Amino acid sequence: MNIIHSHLIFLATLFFTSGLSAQPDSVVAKEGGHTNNNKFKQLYQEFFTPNSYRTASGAPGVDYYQQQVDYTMDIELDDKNKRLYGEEKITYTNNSPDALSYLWVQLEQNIRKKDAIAHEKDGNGAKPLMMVEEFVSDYLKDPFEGGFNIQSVKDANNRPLKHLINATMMRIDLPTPIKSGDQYTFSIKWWYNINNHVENRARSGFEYFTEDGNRAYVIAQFFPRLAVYNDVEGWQNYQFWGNGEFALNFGDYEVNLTVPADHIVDATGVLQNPKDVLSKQELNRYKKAQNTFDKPVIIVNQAEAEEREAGFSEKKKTWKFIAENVRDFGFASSRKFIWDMMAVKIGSQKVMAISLYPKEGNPLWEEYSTIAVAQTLKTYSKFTFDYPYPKAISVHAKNQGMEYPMICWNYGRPEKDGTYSDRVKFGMISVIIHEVGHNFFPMIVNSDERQWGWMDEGLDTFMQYLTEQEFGKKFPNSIMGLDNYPSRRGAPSKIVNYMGGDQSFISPIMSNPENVYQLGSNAYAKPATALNILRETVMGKELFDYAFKTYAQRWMFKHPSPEDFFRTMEDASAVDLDWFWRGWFYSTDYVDIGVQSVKKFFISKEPNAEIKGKLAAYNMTLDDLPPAVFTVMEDSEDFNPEYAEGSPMNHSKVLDTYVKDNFTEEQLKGLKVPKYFYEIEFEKPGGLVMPIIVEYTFADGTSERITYPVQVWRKNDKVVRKVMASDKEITNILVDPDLETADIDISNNSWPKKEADSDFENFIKKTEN
Amino acid sequence: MRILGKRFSLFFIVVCTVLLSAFIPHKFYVTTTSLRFVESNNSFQITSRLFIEDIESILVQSSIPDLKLAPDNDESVVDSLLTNYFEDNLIFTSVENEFKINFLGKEYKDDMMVCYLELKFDKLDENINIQNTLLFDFSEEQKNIIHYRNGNQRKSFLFTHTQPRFKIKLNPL
Repeated sequence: MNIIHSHLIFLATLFFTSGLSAQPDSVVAKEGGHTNNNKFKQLYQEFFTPNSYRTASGAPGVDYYQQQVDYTMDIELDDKNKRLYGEEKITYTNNSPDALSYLWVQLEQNIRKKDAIAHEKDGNGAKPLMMVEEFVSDYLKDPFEGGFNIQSVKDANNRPLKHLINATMMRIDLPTPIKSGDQYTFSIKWWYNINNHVENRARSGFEYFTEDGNRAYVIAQFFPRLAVYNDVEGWQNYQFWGNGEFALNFGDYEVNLTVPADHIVDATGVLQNPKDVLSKQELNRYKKAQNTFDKPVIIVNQAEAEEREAGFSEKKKTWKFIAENVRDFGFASSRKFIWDMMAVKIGSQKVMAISLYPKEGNPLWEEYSTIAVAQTLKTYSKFTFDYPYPKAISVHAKNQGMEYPMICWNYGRPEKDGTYSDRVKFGMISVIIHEVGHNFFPMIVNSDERQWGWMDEGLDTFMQYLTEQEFGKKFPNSIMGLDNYPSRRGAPSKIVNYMGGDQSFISPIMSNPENVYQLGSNAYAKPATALNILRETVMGKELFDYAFKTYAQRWMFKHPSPEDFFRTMEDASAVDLDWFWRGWFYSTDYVDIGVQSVKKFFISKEPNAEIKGKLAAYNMTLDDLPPAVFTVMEDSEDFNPEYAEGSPMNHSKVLDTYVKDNFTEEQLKGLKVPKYFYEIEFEKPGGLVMPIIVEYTFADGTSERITYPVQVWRKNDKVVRKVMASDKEITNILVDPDLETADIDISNNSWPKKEADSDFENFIKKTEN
Repeated sequence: MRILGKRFSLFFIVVCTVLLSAFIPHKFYVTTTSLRFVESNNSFQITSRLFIEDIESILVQSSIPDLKLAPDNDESVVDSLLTNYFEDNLIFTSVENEFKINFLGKEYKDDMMVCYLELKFDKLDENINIQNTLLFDFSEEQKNIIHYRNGNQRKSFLFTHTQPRFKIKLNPL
């Protein structure tokens, strides 16, 4: 329409200009311009440009590729000398379009070399308090002789290959480049001294039990592993400094583990020779377990384990494992292990849920470990994809929780007399759920942990929260006396302390794990809570769950980047989320939204002073306006108490006439005229934009909940005003009534201003009762 | 990798920062205390939040070697230890007076211990000095925050080893 009635233009001018401040009296310097710093700005500058490897929709592109690396390994565990020996044959398949003239191999054990540069990565100075073991190890003892001793690197014809070690990375220079599509086979021979992981706080090693002289080995990062080469990083050869975990290739593994003959072993992959390594009785129980779905079958019981740990066999046995399409390999080995397992039905597949623990873990482990494994596989499968591996093992390890494909180490040890507190019990169940859950992120949805901690830890902690809640419902006895499973992380209120804390010690989630403060809050709790809020408050469960599953299935057995996740969540849901990623993942902003003021207004006979002034300025009278309804604020000079009397229709002739002319008798009868009009001003001291969830309570005690979309903040990042019309008087307004947005300051959330009872007052009330 | 339960924190705070760490130092070493002046009865309501493991390790060192802080413990022993600890480390004075704070009780919330204390003034002094050295004996990096509130007036203070004292004005005239 190109002809617009001049009245309308005038009306439009009135509306658009009202509320803006008048021209200042004195001339001030003109403000400079600015770039786009809107909270809803597109993320084009932060995201990589979509390409044929990774699409704009967040899915793998037509040219997506990943390298395949297969390993055949002979490993020997020397319990007496605490050494591990290995010889590995590596077959590297170059699926990239590029010719590779060298290969990078990761040597994580080298972080334990005496002179490793990683020992000097921090600058915290002197410690006022040191554990005696640490003091001794730092100042009195010869340092631990850790790290790989590389004995040989050879090609398929046994010719030595030129190689160079740079800290935790080894470059192998190839005689001729590996062309796109070609395969290259070579071998590495090595050994290293195994560390005590309890003393060292390491992810791999042994625990020594002084009472019986045994060790329980939980072994990982134990062999030179190929670095990832891909379209995002080229060679991902960021050194291992200790915090950023691993980036690894998928491949098939054939591993022979030679250990003392009286050890019990389990590992990534399927055991190929149970007949060779198990006793007849053990074998029978092992077979029975494969078809027992209701409860764990004990393969080696406590009495048998105690008997084993008393002898120290000089003989050896070799356990053979084959694992397909895994990104890593880990194993556990000890005389002390009790071993139980049960079958779990996942989709059409049967999966074995397994636990390995010394008697020190009982009675807690026998009761909870394997059922926690089973529940994890079920819940995670429901939200992602059916667990594709044949087994999942939870191994008891003092003090640590750490994940590998099909196998993980978990803490949770009762007191010597077998008693344990709720904290130990829930800590153990939670860590098992978390570490078994890592099979999905990052073992299968194989993100780059060295670069992004949150992609596996955040997603996994989010799923852990959902699983814990289901576990509590499925096993009500385990949470006796509580309404829900006591999840440490996930609920919005739990992140408030962190997000509202000192900004100098908070980093955006999109940071490298080496460089953040409070990694636990940064890479675990905050992204988990963000996803929980995204699911329950921003997107809704149906849209979120579909998009999340789409991401998991698109990137199952592939290498996703952060953008692939962000883009898929939008692509599969039609919910614009650039503002959410920008605020929650790329910044350290926090949520703080409140009610600033509430004003009543009324329909009036006459326009207010502002409109009168405008009319006069344009030399117009009321008659020049199209039919219009006027309103005045209760607290303004224009307000006349009689406007509050009777029906609003009585105070606007124009409205009354319009309604009578345009409504049928029938419509007029049913006409509901709102009696109360309010303008509510919402303030936003916090930097994050979020939907405004408001509960209005009326004089008759009823209430109504309205959620204003986040887009309400598009054009004003500080305050927005909404109108509420009702035939009932509003007595109370409450923002975020269910505390679902992680609002860091709720003292401004209610009108009339009401001091929420502080923890202090609640405590006093509780003690008085 | 999972972050370790707080119960082992002391051990690995100290050990793991240098060596290969499977564990992340559990957090930044901060306690937060909310301090609220209640005009109606001339008192401070004090709510302090401490990591259970940190305070546990301090109490273990100073008193009972096998002490465990858990809800099912002997309350009176723990309460008296905490009372002493707060008396030594959260000190309110004025030019003329040293004030006594009453330890009212505590709650366990996840990995935090929330302690409730109260200071009742017989007579108001204008300037109150606060010394907050909570857990300074635990870590050199320990910092303590006090969020002070009096009516609409709000102020936050950061207590460090180098600046463990602040002054607040109770009756701004």
